[in-house]
Amino acid sequence: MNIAFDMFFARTEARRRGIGRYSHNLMHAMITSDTEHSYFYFYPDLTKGLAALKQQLQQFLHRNRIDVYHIMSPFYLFHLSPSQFETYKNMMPERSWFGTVRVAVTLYDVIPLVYEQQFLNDRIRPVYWEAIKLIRSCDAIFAISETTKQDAARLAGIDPDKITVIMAGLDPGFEAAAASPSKGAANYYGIMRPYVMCTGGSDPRKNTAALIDAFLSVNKRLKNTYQLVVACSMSEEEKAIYRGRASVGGDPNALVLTGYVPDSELIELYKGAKLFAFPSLYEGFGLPVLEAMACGTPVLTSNSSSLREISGDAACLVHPESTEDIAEKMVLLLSQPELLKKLSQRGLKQAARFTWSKASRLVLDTYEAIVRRKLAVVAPAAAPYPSPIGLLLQAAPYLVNDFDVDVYMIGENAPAERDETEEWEDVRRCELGQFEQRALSYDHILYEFGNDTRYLAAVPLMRRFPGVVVLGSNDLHDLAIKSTLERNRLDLYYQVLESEYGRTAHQRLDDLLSGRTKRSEVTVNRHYIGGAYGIVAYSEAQSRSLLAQGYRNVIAAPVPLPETELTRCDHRGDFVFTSFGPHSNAEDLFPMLDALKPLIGLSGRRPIKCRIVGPFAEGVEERLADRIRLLSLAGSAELREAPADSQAAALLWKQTNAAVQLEQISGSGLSYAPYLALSYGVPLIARENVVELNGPGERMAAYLIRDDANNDTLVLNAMLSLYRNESLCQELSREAQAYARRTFTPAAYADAIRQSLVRMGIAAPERSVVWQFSMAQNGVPRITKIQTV
Amino acid sequence: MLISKLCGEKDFLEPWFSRGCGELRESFRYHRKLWEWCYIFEALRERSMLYPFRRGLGFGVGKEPLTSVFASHGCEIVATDLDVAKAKEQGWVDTNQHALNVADLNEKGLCDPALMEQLVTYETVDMNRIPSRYHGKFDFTWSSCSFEHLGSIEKGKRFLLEQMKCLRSGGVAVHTTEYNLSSNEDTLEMEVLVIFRRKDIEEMVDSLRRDGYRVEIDYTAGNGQLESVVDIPPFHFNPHLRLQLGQYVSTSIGLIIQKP
Repeated sequence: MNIAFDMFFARTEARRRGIGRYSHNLMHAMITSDTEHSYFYFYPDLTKGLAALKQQLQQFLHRNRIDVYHIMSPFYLFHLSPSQFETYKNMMPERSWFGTVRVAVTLYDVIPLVYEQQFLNDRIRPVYWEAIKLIRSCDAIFAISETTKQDAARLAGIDPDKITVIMAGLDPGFEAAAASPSKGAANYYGIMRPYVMCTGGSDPRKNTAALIDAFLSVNKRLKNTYQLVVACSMSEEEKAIYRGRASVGGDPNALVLTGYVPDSELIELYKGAKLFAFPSLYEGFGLPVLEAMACGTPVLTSNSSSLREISGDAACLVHPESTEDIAEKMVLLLSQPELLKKLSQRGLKQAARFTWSKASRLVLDTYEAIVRRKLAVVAPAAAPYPSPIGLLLQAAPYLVNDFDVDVYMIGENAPAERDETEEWEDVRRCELGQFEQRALSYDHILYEFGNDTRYLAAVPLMRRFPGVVVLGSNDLHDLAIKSTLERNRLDLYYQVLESEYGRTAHQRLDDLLSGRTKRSEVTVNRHYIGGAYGIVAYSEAQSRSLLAQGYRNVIAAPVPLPETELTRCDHRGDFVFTSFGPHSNAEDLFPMLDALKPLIGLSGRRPIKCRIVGPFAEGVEERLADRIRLLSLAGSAELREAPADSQAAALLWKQTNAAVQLEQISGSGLSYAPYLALSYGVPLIARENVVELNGPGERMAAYLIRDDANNDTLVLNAMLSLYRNESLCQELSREAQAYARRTFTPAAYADAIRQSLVRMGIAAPERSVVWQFSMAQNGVPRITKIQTV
Repeated sequence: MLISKLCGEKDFLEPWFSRGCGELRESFRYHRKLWEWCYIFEALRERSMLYPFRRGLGFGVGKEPLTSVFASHGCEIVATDLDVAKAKEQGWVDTNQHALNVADLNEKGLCDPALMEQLVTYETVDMNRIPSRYHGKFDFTWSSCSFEHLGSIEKGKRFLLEQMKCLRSGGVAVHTTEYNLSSNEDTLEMEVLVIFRRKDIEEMVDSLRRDGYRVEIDYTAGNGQLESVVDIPPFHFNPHLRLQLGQYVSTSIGLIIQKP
């Protein structure tokens, strides 16, 4: 994985503050603990404007093939000086700049939202909320405490499911320094008595004034035994105020105001303190508490925000807004050495629980999780009769190794049995209503399209969030008719034609409505799938047809067939020929009925039955019934409704001795029943263009009828051969099944889809930059010009 | 962890050497220059010096790829070399070994150009007069075959002590130079090149230790098959672990010095 860190903070004052130290330690722990990944560093240049920043970022991401980009300080504009802030306050990147690169962010706190009055005004608020917007859009958010997580969710509306609490650790050099002997820092700062120590600052949130007041009252009760060492930078004005309070209390030396203290001396001060007091009103993490504990110093701190969380039972907790409570607890501790000792021991154990290696492991694990590509599959449930509807769902379980797969069902609900199978465990079923909300978070979206009305639900989705289309038909004209003319919407029908034919749409419409042109002669696809990034077809012929229509990125996938075994069973000793629907043209089936007449006249064999199973297009069933009557086949031929469920469908297949699939292929596209016959090992008689069999052994897999030949005779001969020759039936069955298992597997189907997604996922080449170098006048070489090509 | 040592044939089969070649995008070959780069890279890497916020100071960087590799790891680098006039005088410009600009420091594109711009500063520095503004400012210093060109053995020794002042507490210096395998008595000492004898190195190590710096050193010279091959001018041989300089056989020595 290629991981990039946003290093803007390293060019600002934040580098030396808590954020800098936190980022420094986290990055160090990650880089030194891990050799599997490569790390990159991005220093944004704000000086050239927003467009240049975008370009710089995108060049960086593209050139280094970045997988995860980690923003170490999302409120980076607030690290700038007031004048710089005014200049650069609009320089906030947008999530869309990152494309499919995953974006992570460290969230330290949302203090400006907790103390809005104090921190936000009309000038700052919009910029702060822009940063919040960016954080919300990130794929992973690392909060440094549970408090930060809860407040981010509560006050900033950030999705808590995206937030991982990683906490923090101690500075790597801290433990060693904590164990090293004292070098006399206490003397240097003029500390003369046992002391209580605090760190903090002029920020009222640190509650330093309350602590000083509490301490001065406590110290008076304890006969001025102690000093309070306030170790932080402080203005002279503040110092004067605090010293004045101490003088009023009668002990001007009670306070030691050190100003800024370097880390090494800070540790010494921690170690020398009787008590570390940190009654801050709010902390994102409260590292000083942990540092004091690591030095074995007993801790008194607030019972709120993250301080309670990180202290556990190893600190004395006070109500930070009550000076009395702070004072009472301080007296209690300072007058009971046993209690201090107990807190010291607990503190050492508590501090040891926080390590950078733990935090970095959590971060790396989260990177791994978010870097997986996300795929949405939008498809209807499979129909109980043989149909390409819902075939896409067969690929879903095979795609989980490469993608996080979410399935959105359109139309009817999926049969319950599908959910119960083990292979579907890793596929997430989602409500279609949630799709629009989540669509932008997917790397790929797969739609299944065909002529059934249930695909209409996918049309607006496809238009707004284009993706790769698995297409069960060459022509979606039937879908257009069903969704426009059949709903009495001629205007919409015109729109569909216009998408395909532009200015000549009027002429096409007139021709179609007047009957001068047949519907099958007018292809209509562009309105529905014109925006597709790629198309997966079910045969080479379909693929060629789509390419001829001007579509690009078309891949032919093998038809996926179920791997279930069917145990054949005789139907009252009959030899059953079955033609499975859907049927859209009765004439195509006449050769089968015509052949049946002479067949049933044969003697000495098993009775012959013929079944034609629906669904039927309008008028087809009636025409077939007429034909049966005309041929006096009422006892031998029957028309059946489409099976209501998969069990009924399976029974029909089990009772079939030979499948006869003579439907012409036109715009209706894939005819699934012949493929199912192969899979179930049911001997198959089919038109040559109905199934596409390529590869070794395909000639032995089915009895194929050439399209241009005398169909009636050929169909009769084929049916007769199968009826008379049982060994031929067995051989065809065996070969068909072997061929199907070799060729038409869901795994191979999913592979083709995966290829299509990968191919479509390759971004167009980005613009590149030519860097020019020149020697400046002072002899220092510089990069002087960036030229984009 | 690596310690100060001579370039040895066995090192070329160590994982750290392969790692170094990968980082430097160099194909494997038995060449002591490649050994020096990989040695410096590894000595710094294993001491946690190669990551953001670390500051490095390179002396006599020429066009070597280390500057750009260190920058690609997020280190802030001050890369220094002679000024052009002096480099010309010493013949480095003619042999194409002197960096004229930042592009030269990233000739192989080992670092993102924008990152180079942010993290690398190029300055001209005479190694005999290290500016005091560098003192205490760096986490690591390095040079590859540079301090033998300072004019004399004495100047080389002085450089090694002086450059330590540039390090912060906990910092590390890694330098490679010429080592005389033929004699511990006589050696080559010219204005443009000297070869340090074992006793010179020992004196340097003693001085460094006296000043409180930590050095661990192994003077073992290998006797492998490839180490018996001595390259002669114009030094285009592979293997090139040892070479003839005047009447002396020389190889590289790497020194790792830790500031407590």
